[in-house]
Amino acid sequence: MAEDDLEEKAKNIIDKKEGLTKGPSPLLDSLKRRWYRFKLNPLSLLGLSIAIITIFLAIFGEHVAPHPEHGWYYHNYPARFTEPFETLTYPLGTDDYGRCILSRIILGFRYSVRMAAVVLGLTLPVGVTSGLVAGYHRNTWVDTLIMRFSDVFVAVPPLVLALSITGILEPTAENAMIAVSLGWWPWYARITYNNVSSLVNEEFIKASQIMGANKFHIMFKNLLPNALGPILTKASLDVGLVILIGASLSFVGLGAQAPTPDLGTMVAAGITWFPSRWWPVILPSLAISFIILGFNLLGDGIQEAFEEAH
Amino acid sequence: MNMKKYIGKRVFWGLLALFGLSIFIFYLARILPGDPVLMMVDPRTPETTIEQLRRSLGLHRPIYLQYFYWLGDVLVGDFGYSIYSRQSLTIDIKNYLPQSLELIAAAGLIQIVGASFIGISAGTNINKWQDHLGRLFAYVACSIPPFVWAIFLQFVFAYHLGLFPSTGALSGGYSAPPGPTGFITIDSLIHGRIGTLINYLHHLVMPALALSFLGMAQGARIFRTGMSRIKEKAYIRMSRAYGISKRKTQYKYMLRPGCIPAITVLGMQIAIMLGNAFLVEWVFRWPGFSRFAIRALLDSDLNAAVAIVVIIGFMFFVLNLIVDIIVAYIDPRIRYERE
Amino acid sequence: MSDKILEIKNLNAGYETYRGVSHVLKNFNLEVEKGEKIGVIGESGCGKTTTMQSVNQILPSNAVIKGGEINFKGENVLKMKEKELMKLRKKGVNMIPQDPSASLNPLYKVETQLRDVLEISTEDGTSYYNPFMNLFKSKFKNLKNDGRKDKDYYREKSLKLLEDVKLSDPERVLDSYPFQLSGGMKQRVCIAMSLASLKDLLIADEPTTNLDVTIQHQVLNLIKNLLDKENLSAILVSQALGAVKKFVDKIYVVYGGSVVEVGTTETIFDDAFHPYTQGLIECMPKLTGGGFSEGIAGQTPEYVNPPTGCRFYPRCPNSSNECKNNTPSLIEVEKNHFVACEGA
Repeated sequence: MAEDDLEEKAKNIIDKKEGLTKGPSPLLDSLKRRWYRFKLNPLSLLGLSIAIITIFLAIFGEHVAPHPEHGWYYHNYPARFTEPFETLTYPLGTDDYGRCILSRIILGFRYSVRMAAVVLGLTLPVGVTSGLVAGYHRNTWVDTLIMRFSDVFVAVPPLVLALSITGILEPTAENAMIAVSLGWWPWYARITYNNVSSLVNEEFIKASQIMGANKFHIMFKNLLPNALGPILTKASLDVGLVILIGASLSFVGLGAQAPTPDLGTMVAAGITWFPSRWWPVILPSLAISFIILGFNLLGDGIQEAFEEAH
Repeated sequence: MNMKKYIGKRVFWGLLALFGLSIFIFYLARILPGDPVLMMVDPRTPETTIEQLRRSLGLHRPIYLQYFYWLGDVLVGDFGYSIYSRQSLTIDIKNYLPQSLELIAAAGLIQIVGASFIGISAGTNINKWQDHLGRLFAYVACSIPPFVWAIFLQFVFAYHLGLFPSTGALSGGYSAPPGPTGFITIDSLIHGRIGTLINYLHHLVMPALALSFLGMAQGARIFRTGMSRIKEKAYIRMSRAYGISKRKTQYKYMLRPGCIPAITVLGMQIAIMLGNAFLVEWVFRWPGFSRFAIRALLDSDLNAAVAIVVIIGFMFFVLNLIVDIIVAYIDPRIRYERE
Repeated sequence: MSDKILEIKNLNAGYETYRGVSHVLKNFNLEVEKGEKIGVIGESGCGKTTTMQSVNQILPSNAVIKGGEINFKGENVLKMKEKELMKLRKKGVNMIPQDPSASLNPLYKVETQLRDVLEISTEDGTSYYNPFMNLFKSKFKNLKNDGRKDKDYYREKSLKLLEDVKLSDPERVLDSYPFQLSGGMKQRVCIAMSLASLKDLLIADEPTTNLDVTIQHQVLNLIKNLLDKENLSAILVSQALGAVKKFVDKIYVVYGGSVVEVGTTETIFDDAFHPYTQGLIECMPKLTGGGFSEGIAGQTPEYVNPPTGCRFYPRCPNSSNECKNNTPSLIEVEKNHFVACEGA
């Protein structure tokens, strides 16, 4: 009984600034706390809305775009280079093949989102697991092996690695995703490792070990939750970054190829006619910036929400 | 644990990682299906000549031996033969790398100055106009990809306003000085060709700006967050309690802890610029290494790909080392904790 | 009517949190006269540090002051501008912080931090700090003609201060970074920093928590002697009732953000009226035996939606329905003995 009181008082000291006593459920409480901090900044909500719109368009693009068939091998030369904001059939004008730019942009959202989803979907599990394993076996050969191996892939900036790998292999969207993932996973390994390795000697880990919990249980149930905050923060900030890299790669020609309606590819294709016909270049660029801005704001908001006030 | 040991460790592991990377890229380039020799020659060349070529390039050897030969060559500076440019890669590198370095250096400088100025004034004046303006800029700048910035700058300032030249490094009528270093800025000073220097700088402004915005935005954000968090810390409030003035507190006591995350980020951003330079050079047709690299990659020039990775990897390594040294100097905990 | 150094009148303050605004301090009243040493006791989270930080205005930015006055030598601190606050902090109020680990800048050696505090104490007025000029001047020593002494002078003084707080090996401490020192050493460094200059009011926020009992006494005695010499005042916030007893003349007992009892040291210890105070005194283990007490049942009050009426009501063994609805205010039950309780 007395211990409970002491724990109460301890928690009271920690919560003193927020004037609380121990709430009903710690998890719900912390989620509420995070949401409050997230909401605090209206820009974060803006970012969330943009992200939702983007994902929606990525999934349902074909149903929203006025001319979905323009996304691929289509040409209608008489209609080429109509100016934007002039006709209702082609609200944002057409490109050099006569394809509706608005439709292609909407379809293009999918490729950007796909890039982020695939890359993060690959790098997060691989990176986090590596970090956990390395952190758990801290200061053994396992640790050194994993972390130094991951160092190899961060010896160059991710864009450079992606460019060269895509250049060596065939330049396709899939290869671009693989290439970026290769250069990306070490960051997650590192961040997990940093947050976990210092905990390995703590009492609660030792207690788990004594109780006979197997390694995986310790790693995932005990260690992982502590690193989850920074991981999620980084992941949310990374979405924008990966999309940016993806667009850059396709812009240079080392990513998705024409006639794929990838936003970067569209900008590259339009450059030939730039600057006299500005819209095939400027409009997809704005679209890319829009997406990235949204995810950046979202990521910022998540970061602020998960920030511990210490 | 003092600085030397710390640096030593970093150098050792960094170089080791670089080696690992070179092995990886080398193997990747070599194990691809497709015969590089065939790509280089006219298809009508007789088989014997092709064999000879193959032998002379060392492609008949097993891959690991090829790697060691290659490594040996690289260490003396020979990067092999470029399919794209049809000459020794080393010559290409010598021609193009200095310009890239100048571009990156200029962009880096702009970035550091801009980020610290915007970020610190935003962080120490939260919710006032400096903050709002700074954050607005930061959000905009880091959401717009560098190549979009490049296009945009080109469009507005070169095409419409005609203030700056839109492509290239030197206008017609100016030529690069035959200087010793290959760096146009230095060489033109050495030869006293001030006109060339000015023309060059004139061309340099826009690409450097375009390249710097992304990093500047990130840097400014980190400065701002850092400074605003530091402001709340107990030891800063205590130093005010002792009577130390706001200004002194800011410059002396807040700057150091506030800088640390910023320096890491700025270093990282400059390194990322090594990558983004590719895009900016591409748009502005800047005669730099990155532009050369992209064209080589598009042509599947494998030797070039490997060389690119290794060279940029090395520059990255040096950069990271410098950043780590600076941080270790400022924050004593890093030095001591590495025990 | 002797002059009051500090007068806190009906201070209401709280913090912005995600659950809303917490209302920590409720009608807080406190007075310190010149030369007086008072103690403030109460459990963790009852608002002691908040009050103290309000006096020299170093509250964190999510703090909200809803009402009341804090008069230092007659002037309201809450209405002061930056310049006046600077003067207040330099000459008027000294502080020993509660958490020494968080209160020392981790990136600077102790010597630098101590020197800066010493410099402040020898300057007059507000000087303009220009980092570039300092850099410039440090290169050209003979240009330093603005009365600033050089590093060695400050080093000597710092060493003496560190010796005064009973730090063995002051040289080493001076050359160390805070993370290289133990908790007790850091605490003594903080105490030394506050003793660098003696100001009208010293606020000591739990200055002895990390120290051994013997050192506690020595340090407190040192402080007391220094203060007595110049007839300076002090507020000692502490949970260590034993230390408080020897040091102060008057004690304020705080619970849930309000003062519940005020009296001289003897009165509080021997003849407390408020049930909370009684419980507190009970909790002290006594040499005369009798084992440990039960503690005071219940939890600290919630500050976001605080209960109306007396905040001690949920835990009070003598409560009645009136206590729930009416907030008691301090009434003088005897000479110089005030209690805020309906049941008194």
